[in-house]
Amino acid sequence: MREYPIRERIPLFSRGDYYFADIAENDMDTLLNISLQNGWKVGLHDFLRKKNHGMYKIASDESRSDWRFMFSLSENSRVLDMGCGLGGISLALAQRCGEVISMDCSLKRLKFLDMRAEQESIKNIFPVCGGDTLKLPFPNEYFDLVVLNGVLEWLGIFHRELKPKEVQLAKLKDIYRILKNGGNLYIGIENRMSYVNFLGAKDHSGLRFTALMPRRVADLYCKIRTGQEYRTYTYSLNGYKRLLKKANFSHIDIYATIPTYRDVFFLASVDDTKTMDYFFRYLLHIHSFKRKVIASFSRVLLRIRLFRFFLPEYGIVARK
Amino acid sequence: MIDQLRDFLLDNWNKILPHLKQPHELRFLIAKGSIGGYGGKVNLFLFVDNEPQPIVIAKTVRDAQSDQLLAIEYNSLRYIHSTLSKSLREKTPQVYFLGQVGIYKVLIEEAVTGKSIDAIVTSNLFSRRQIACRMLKIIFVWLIESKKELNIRENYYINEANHKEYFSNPIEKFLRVYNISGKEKNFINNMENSISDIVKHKYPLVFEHGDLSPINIIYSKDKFWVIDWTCSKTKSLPFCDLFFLLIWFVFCNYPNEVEGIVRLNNFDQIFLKNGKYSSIASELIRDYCNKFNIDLLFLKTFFAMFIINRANKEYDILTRQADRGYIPLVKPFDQEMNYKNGSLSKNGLYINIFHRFVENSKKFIF
Repeated sequence: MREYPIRERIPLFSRGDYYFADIAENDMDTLLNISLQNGWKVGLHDFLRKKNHGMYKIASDESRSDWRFMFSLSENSRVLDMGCGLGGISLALAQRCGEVISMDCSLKRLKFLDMRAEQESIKNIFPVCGGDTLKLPFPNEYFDLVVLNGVLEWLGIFHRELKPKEVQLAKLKDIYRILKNGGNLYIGIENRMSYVNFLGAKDHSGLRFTALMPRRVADLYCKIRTGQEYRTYTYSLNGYKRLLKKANFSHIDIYATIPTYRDVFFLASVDDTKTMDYFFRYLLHIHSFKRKVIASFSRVLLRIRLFRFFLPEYGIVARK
Repeated sequence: MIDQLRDFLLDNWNKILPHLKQPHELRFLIAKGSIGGYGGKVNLFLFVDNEPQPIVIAKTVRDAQSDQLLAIEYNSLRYIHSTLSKSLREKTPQVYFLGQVGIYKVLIEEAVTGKSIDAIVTSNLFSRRQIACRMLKIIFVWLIESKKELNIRENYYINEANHKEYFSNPIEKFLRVYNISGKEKNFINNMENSISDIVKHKYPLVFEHGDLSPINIIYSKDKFWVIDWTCSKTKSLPFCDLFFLLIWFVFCNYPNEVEGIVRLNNFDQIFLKNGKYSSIASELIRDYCNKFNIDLLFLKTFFAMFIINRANKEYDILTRQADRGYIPLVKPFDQEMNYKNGSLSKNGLYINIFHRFVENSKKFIF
């Protein structure tokens, strides 16, 4: 049996102390101080909202994780929220689940989540620091649901000795191991072949078009432009299916998460063209000429069954 | 939840939906919803077999505290369908089931296919005003007729016994939770005589939808449906739905300008003289008064009460959101959460409309 250290009530399974967030580390310290003194709601609202409104919404709006309605969770369900950040998804899941293990590689973000759960008297959230190792510190067949919302693409940066795809695959295989039979993995992630990438949207590398380039070319381009390797791999629709099949998942469903997987307003199977067509005809609100053009073009792609390949983002459900 | 709901429906199809053919398969589309501005609801559109349109909608809520809102919608729709004449009740969805599926309370009702008026108005980039006015008139006819039918049978009215509930208590709460100026307090105090007269006239209390915005009106091929009855009330002051409808018809004309002072300026366009929409607003309000035999003299008081009730409700929603750590939080409400710094739609829209209304009360259309 191996022992792990515990710091400020949080078990440490990580290999190092990382800090990843959309706000600077000293701002995170300020957020923690304000939240300790005046409560997490004041910290998020009075401080984080001004620093980064998008992050404030992500941290506080529980409706952004409505994909959870796809899963048959109960008071006995055990969920792993990997890359839980400030805990927006974990808190939403904890309302209806038995146990939520919130994992993140940043101790500071976990401290915030722990404080948040304590102040709300939520007893079924357990923060753990980790996620940077290839092997997850959980027994076999332990979870009903594992959540990787905006996480899979970043896994490659933790193991520079391996290719990003190898890291992702190893982690997915280990997730398969810790899932119960019939358990689900939910992945929220960008599409490599998204139409926005063709229009020049910035990739995770911070550069345009790198997602579309062959990996080696993208790597070389990133090294020249930023001095960093290209390690934040995303995949196409079929690429995700292949990756998950290699990780032993047999039943894979891919959903359109509209407008984004970070804040899902509409969710429907990408293979169900009739449902998607209904969405375009009746539920999509178009306020501008530019959006009208995009929607018309999307409907053409939908009719010829190509739309699913160019969606910006996916919600992927892989069942063990 | 989807798997549980699918199994539940397929097993109980003939009990819940006996008028529809038992399907072999169900498909889903999940859509985020909100209840009266409080984002607690999720809609699941259910498609059967290969049908291109959903046959029913399953509604559920994120937290168990909101379960009661589904019951309100269920009861209201049952009441409407048992009370209204066929031509009027056809404009509302049929409700089929309310009960527990897995850990969630679920309401199942008829799916109506069409676009929300909000979407129709905003997608017509060059003729928004004409379309908004045309649709407003169509809805208005249904609004009056349905209110008359729902109320004549119940015969509710404002009287000595209940006037505290509809006037004094909301005013007392409004004065307690908002910081208002001396001028505004005087305005409210001056409403006393008018309120006494309203009580003497025994004006009707009407069935209220409670969230009658263009988003909740679905339109298709000259047919329309009024959906989302989670905020409905059996007895309410007579103008609530009409004023709400008018305000939101104008707001939905400016989909890209929902923040800040723009919304406040839209109030001027409907309710102040010479506004872009004031002529249609005054025409509809006058017609409404005639149908219910309400004296135009009392309109300012009814309007003030509408704003006061809405502001109170908004305060409750904000407080509830704040308790859950939602956006936005109430704590600095009176300092920085006003429209200058935050989203007016969620941060004191109605209190700001009240300020505007009192400031410009002499220019009010009536």
